[in-house]
Amino acid sequence: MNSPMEDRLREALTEAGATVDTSTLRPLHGGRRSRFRVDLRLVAVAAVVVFVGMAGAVGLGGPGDVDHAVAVNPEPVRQKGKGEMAVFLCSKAVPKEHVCQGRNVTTEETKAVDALVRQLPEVESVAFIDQASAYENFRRDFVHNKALLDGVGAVDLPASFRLTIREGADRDQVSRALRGVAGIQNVVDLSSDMIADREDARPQVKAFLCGKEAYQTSCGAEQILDAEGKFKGVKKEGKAATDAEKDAVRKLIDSLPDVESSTFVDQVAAYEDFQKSFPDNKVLLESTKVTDMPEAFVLTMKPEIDRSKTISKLKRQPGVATVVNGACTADRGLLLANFGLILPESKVCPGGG
Amino acid sequence: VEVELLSRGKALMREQVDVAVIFAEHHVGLVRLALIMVGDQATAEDVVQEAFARTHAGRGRLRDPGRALVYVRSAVLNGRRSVLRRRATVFRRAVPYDPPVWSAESAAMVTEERRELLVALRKLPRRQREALTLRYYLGLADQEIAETMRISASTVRSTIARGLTALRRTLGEES
Repeated sequence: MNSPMEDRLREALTEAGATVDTSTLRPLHGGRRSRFRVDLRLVAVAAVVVFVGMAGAVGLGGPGDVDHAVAVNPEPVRQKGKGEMAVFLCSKAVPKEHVCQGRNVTTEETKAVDALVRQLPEVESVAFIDQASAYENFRRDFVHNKALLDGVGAVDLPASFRLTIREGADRDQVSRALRGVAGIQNVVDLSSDMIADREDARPQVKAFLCGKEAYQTSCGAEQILDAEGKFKGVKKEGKAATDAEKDAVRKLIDSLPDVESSTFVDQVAAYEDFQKSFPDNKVLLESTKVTDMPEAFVLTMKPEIDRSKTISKLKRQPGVATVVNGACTADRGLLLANFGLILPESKVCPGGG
Repeated sequence: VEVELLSRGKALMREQVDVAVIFAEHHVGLVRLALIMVGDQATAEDVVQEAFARTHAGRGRLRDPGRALVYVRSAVLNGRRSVLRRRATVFRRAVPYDPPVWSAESAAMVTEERRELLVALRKLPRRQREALTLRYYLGLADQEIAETMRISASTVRSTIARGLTALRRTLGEES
């Protein structure tokens, strides 16, 4: 574990390093007789547009994804097709079985990716963010999340290219062009349906109730898990929450001191939110029915309080399938969108707080 | 023979470009590292520029392009000394030097406590200061620090331990 001195040192050095004003940085020039050009387009531009991922963005895993997205993102602020795309490069921190094979991107690969993204017709401009800058941004963005600051080091964060995409250009084409290119870990579209602005609201807590055909063990379902404990299916379905259970949940919520207000979202309302959240995703909308939506209590919490108590109480209540802390989901989305990391909830917010 | 020369030339070119690209990619990061060592941005930029120019001059010695980042970081650490020496004698400059970010005259750092810590760090022996910076600013592992500073990994560990102890003593924190 880190000692307080180590933490203080880290903070002080980061602050000192961050005082560098990148706008006045003089370009490098190569010695007496420079025989080759330095490609300064590669120089990291520190201006990172902070898009904040709210929803259970791509691959956050588990069958709860849909819940997450609906849960925290009732009315996403849409980026008007001009948002950035982030191309995260390989880092050692990525597990060995990944395309990166557990090694850092090489300089040649970085150069090749740089050249490649620049010649894509959809790309308007390109900025590079190195590991050190990523780490700085990371420490700034997650100042509120100590568990995360303790768990992630500079070497864990991949370097990335940030692409500004031309208005109206086919963003999927960019993803396709970059798929499988050596040195690229993943490509995240920061203007996708899943990523929205954080400004809009204080992240809420949602308590989803058990529905018909519930897969959650908390609803009495028996799950089929593979050797690694990943969800593979349902052996026996769970039971929907009864009216009595719903009443009890409501009474519990009314008695919780940290809850400022709460509303009940029925299936119809949940489906409307869902449609609003994914207006462009026809496949998803067509495959989802009103009756697929879970009912939920949406809680607005008092600001600046530890949410873990409320969440653990709700989780123990019969009829509650799962409890999603919007703050955690937001952090996980942000982590993926801006830093290319996919971490389990247990790491991002232990105890659900 | 011609073909062979050509491919050798190409290999050499690639190597040269490697160093240049490493510098370009990490320019801001290197300036930040240098700033932590010297205190102000103008000097920090000089240090990186100096290291960059030197790397060009000595590029024949760079055998392993894969370790270029280690190389340029250590060039930056080493470049610091010669730049500070030169700075004492050169007066004509376009960019004025600011006071170090951790000094009371500078408004760059807002937290008094952190400023004190950096002042205490300044007072440590060079090796401890460098090892602590590489560990706690760049988050490097023992082995990487060892390669950058050209000392052994066990020396890195003991140097960091000693540095932390000294800081705790100076700042009166219980360990």
